Amino acid sequence: MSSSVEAITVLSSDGDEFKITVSAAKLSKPLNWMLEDVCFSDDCDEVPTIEVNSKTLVKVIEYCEKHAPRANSGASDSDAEELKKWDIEFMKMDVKDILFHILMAANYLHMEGLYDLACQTAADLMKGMTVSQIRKIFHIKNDFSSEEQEQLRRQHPGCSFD
Amino acid sequence: MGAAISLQFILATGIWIFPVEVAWMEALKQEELRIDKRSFDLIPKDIFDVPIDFLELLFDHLSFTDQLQFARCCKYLYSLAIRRPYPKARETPWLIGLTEDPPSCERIYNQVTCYQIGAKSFEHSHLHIIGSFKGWLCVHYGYNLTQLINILSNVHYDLPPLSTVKNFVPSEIKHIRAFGASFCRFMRPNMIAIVSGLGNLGLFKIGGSKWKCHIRKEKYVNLTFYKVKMYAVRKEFNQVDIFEIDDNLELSLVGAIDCSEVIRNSLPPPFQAYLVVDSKDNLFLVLQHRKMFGSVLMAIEFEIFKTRDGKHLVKVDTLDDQIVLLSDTCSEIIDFKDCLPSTFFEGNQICFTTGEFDHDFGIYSCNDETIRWLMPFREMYCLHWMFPRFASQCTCESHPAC
Repeated sequence: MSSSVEAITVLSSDGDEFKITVSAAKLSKPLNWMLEDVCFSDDCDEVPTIEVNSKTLVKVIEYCEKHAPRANSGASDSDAEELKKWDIEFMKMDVKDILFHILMAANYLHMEGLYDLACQTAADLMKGMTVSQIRKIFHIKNDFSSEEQEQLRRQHPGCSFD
Repeated sequence: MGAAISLQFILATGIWIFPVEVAWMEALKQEELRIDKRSFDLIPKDIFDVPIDFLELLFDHLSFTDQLQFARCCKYLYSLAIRRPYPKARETPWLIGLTEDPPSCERIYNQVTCYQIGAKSFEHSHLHIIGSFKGWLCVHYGYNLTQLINILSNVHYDLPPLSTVKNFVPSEIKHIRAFGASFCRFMRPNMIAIVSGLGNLGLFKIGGSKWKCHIRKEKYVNLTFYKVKMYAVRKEFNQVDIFEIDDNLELSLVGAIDCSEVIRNSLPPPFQAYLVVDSKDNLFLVLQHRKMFGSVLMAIEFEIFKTRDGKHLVKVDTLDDQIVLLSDTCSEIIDFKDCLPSTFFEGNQICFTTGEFDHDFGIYSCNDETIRWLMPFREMYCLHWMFPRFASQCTCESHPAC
C-alpha cells in the first residue's frame, strides 16, 4: 500500500461506504492484512467489503479511531483513565439491538480490546441481577424442572431463582 | 477374490461418498445464498448463538454470586459453568482466619467486616489451615484427618493424615513450612507437596492412598509446581532445585537455579523466599525481608526476581500489574484485572501474612515500596490470603468422583 494513503474506504455488508484512517484500521488484524494486500490508491477502484452491517461498523470505526492514538504511540495514565471513561459511555447501548453485533464484529475483526470491552459490558449488565432478570434481558427460556430448581437451590442456598 | 474385494470396496466407497457429496453441494448452495444476501447472518439472535468462548469469558468476568445466577438461567448455561476449563471469577482477595470459640472460618474485608464461612467442615475443633491455593484450602483436623476443600464448589478430597507420613518425626508435621499443589485444567488438584518443619519433602497424588516422603541431604523452605516439575528452594536460599516426579512419586533432580549471587547482593537475613508462578507462565522468587521488633518478627521489605531461560534470576521492580498473595506456607499470584474494583487492592501489590503469631499482616506496594499494615485480628489464627475460585467438573483419572 502506498504510504501516502491516510484513510481507506471499506464497504459494509449492506453496501454502504465508510472511511477509516490507516492508523485506526491497524487495530484489526484482518484490516491490517487488507492494508498490505489490497490496492487503496486513487487509481484503484477495488473497495473491500467488511462483513459487518452499517450500524455496527459505524460503532467499530468510532472505537478504532478513538483507540488508535493510544495503541500506536502509547499514552499517559491520565489518557488511559480518560479512555476508560469514554469506553463506558461508548458501550451504553441496548443489548439486543447492538451489543451482540459489536461482539461478533470484534470477534470477526480480531479486535481483542473491543471483544473484552463487550464482554465486560455484558457482565456489568448482569451485576446483582436475579435469575429472572437475566433471563428477561437475554431472552433465555427456563428449561429446569421445579425439582431440578429445588436441587440447585439446596446446593447453593445463597442464590435465589426469583 | 481380488475382484470381489474391489467391488465391495467400490460399493462401500460409493455408499459413503454419495451423501457426503450431496451435503457438500447443499452447503455450497447455502454459502452462495449467504454471500448473495450480504446479510452477515452470523449475528446472534440470542445469547446461545454467540461463540462458546465468549460465554466462558463472560463467566470469568462475573463475581461468583453473579456466575451462579447466570448458570441457573437454563441447563445449557449451567452445564457450561460447571464444565468450563480454567474457571475464574472476578472477586476480591480474601483474608481468611479461624476462630476457636465457636470453631469457624471467616473472611475479612476492608479491615472491619467479617463474614463467617458456613461450611460444615469448619465446625470441628482443633482446626488448622496448612495452606490455600487457587481457591482450595488444605485443612488439618487434629492429627486424624487432612482435607482439601473448595468452599465455593462445595467439594473436598480426603488426604491421609500427615501423621501417617513415614519417616517424618511428629514434631515436623506440627508446623508445615510450605504447601504447593498442581492442578488439572478444571482447577482440581492432582498432586500435593509439602515441606515439613525440618525441611523434608512429602508428596501425595490425589486418588492415591499414602504420602511419599523424601528425606534428602538438602533441606528446603518453599516449593511450587511449574511446567510439570517441582521447584524447591533450599534452606540456605542459595539454590532452587528442579525435580521431575514419576508415577510412583519418586523424585529425580533434573536441574537447578543458582540464587547465590542474588542472596549475596540482598539484604542480610532473616528473610523468607517464596516461589510463585503467574498466569503467563513466569516463575518469580519473592524475598520477604524481616526484622525483630521486640519479640515479633515483622516484614520490612520485599524483593522480586523473575527467572530468565529457566536458569537465571533477574531483579524486577514490578509484578506486571499482578498481586502476590503470600502466607508462610503458601503463595500464589493473581491478575489484578481478575479482581473486582476496590480501593483496597491494586496491581503490583504483595498481600502477606508473617510469622507464627498470626497478627502481622499487611499489603506491600511495589509502586511506592511502602507497607500498609492491617488492623490485627487477635481472636483469629491461621490467617491466610486466598483468591476464591470455583472448581469445574473433571473426568480425568485423578478425579473419578467429580
